[in-house]
Amino acid sequence: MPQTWFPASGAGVATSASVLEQVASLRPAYAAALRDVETAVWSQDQLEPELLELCRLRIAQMLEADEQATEPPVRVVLDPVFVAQLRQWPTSDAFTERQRVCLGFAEQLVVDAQGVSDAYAASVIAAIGDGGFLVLTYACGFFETTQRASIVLGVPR
Amino acid sequence: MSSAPRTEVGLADVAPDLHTAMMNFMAAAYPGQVDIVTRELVRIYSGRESHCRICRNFRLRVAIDRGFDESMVAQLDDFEHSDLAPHQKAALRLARDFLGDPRAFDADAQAELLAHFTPEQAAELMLDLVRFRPGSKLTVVAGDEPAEEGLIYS
Repeated sequence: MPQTWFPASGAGVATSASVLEQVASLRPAYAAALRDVETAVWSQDQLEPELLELCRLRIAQMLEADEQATEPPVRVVLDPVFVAQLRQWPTSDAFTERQRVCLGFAEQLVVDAQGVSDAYAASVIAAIGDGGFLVLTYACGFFETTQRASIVLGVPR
Repeated sequence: MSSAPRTEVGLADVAPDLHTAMMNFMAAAYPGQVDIVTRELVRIYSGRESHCRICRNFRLRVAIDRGFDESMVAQLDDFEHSDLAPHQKAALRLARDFLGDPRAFDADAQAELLAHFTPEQAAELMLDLVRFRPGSKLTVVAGDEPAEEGLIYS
């Protein structure tokens, strides 16, 4: 079980549970609602899981978080080339324009959501549609806070 | 920021299951085990840090009924030197580090949190912090903020 400084966890927590899952399990109904949000993020039909996963991994890089601590509830297989090139996404040939738009937007959301201008929002919407824009915004916020929680709760290796 | 909607649809239209889950996440948060005044302070602190006009100006009447007042909000910027209660400062330190520099939440801060809150209460505060910001960012980026500052009561 991943290590945390937190002194307790709820009953019946799986040995594979993340530190956030271990701690959240002390409030079972609240934890179940969190799991439902995570499931819904990954099962909506506006953006493909591979695109979300790229953004999740990029946010983990920005926060220097352990990306394995917040692995998605669905299996997402990324081409290793993407993962290897992720820090160089602005200049790497590995990424499509659509992926670049989403990665840039994910970074902007972490750094300063207020900095998303009308023109910038319109450019993202042009690339992924209204639905993709709304889902990606919420999803990136979710990736950010779950990763922040994992850092706060984890034990440095 | 924008106070004009940037999309012609809402999250409920394009991702109804996600919207429902988000609303249920909010509903599951209350009532909790941490006193509502402390939770309000943490929620407002998160809204301010996330630069969300709705989140920082929204007020729960039930918290006001239990002792929350605007003089507490005025002390959030420098809560370390404020008159806020020790347990409220401990919760705000968690919020500050969570949202700013999560690695700064060190052993002393951990021990202090657990000196003031049971593990169940501390877990609740952690879940609150996971919950607040995604909704704040969606509100800000979607252009759903009100044009003017002003308290919103519920």
